[in-house]
Amino acid sequence: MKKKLILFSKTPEDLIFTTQIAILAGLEIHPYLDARKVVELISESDEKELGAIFIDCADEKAFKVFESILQEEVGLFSEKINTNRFHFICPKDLENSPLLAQSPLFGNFIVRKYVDADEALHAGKRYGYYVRSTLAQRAFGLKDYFSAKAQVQSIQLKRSTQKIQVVEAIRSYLIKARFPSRIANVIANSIDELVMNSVFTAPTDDMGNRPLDLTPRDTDFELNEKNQVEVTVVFDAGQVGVSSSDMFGSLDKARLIQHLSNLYAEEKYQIRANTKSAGLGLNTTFKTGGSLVFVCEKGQKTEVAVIFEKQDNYREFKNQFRFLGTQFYHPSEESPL
Amino acid sequence: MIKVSKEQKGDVLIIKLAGSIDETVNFDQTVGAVQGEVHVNTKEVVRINSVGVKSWIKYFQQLHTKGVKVHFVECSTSIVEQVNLISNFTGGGEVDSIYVPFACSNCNAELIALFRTADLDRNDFKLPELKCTKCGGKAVFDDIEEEYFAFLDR
Repeated sequence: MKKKLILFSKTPEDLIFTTQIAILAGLEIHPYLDARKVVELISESDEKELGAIFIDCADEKAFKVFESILQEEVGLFSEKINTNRFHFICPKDLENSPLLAQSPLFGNFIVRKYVDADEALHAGKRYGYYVRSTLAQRAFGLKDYFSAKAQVQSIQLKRSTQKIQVVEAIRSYLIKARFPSRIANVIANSIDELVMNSVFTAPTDDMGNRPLDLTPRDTDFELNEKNQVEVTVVFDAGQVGVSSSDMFGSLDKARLIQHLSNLYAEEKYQIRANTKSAGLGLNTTFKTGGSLVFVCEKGQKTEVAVIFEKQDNYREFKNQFRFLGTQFYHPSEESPL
Repeated sequence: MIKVSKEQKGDVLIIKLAGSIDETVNFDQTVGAVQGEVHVNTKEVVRINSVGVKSWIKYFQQLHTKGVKVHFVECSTSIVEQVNLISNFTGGGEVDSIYVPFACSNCNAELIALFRTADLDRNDFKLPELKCTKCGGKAVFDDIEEEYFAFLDR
């Protein structure tokens, strides 16, 4: 039996977007205009029958109404609620959706850049591969977010300082592959941030402390055993993606969403030069056009990927459809953290 | 890796930065002590990562505190992006001129043109029509206006 894709939206393009996703991910679509009907279906379904739940969050008030009904009828912390399955479609960036960002339901966030049927269809094709991978036991593996024709290359980092060479190698490759240099630089910067997080922020000790968090980022040390970091590059005709993975599984979801929601352009979010926190880099990546996917199995592994659509010019690159995916798992079960 | 060159012109020290600003940069060592007025030219800065951003802010805030007048000139697109994304990126310095990105609508060539921020302000961000230096085609602004020029409204 096919799993369900539930859509709660009044936007016609969302139906086109999710229909394409349902086709690619092998889901059965159930579109609704009434929040109560959506909650009813969630309530009467087994959690394993629910493949993906898409909610139009055009305004925060509508989201709060949905959240209240879900709380009344099912309970936000019920076993039926797997936040990995929730996909919120918003017209603007995350910093404009503070209630959603703080909600216990937060799972996946889509910036609705599509304005007509063609664009919705195109976006559905891009997002459909990701949704399909989230239906597996674990969503690790960047190549699964791409078409079957995509090419894959993985590099195992031997030392912390190897990051500079890896970033430069990928930047040079992108320029040779005729990416505009400004776009190649943005992608290189994103990879830089991802790898730096894997090397310095991810490692935790038995007490949950982060021993390398305050280490200067130019420190040279070996990356062996638990500290190994793998960088994977995947590309097809339309997209390029890069992931960096570590063996700690120490990503803190609440802290991550907080970092990504900050608007550093505002006076209240001034950067403090003496902190080593990695939030700024990821925040910038998401704002400059990249989609980000965070997959974390607690204590086992974290994989962070950035995906960009290839564009001929920077304006289109920056304005591309993008999303923020989060998939969090306990080591021995399917339920979210 | 960043390359730094310095030139004293009268009372003004001109510092030219080129390359990537990352964890290897140490502005205190590479630029050294500065007094009076400094013009920082970043035309050749292609990218800056988050560690570079923090070093940058720390260094230029220190100069500002010491009473050094900092002017950022010929800011590259990567620097303008940071000025827009981070409210305290300039550390109290003034942005005098920036490179504005264009793309040729005919051959897709990437082009940049230098503008004084005072002129952009005065003209309400209206950019002149430019021609591609490679094919003569029409060059169009290649970013999102309300984002690229956002810092001018602060």
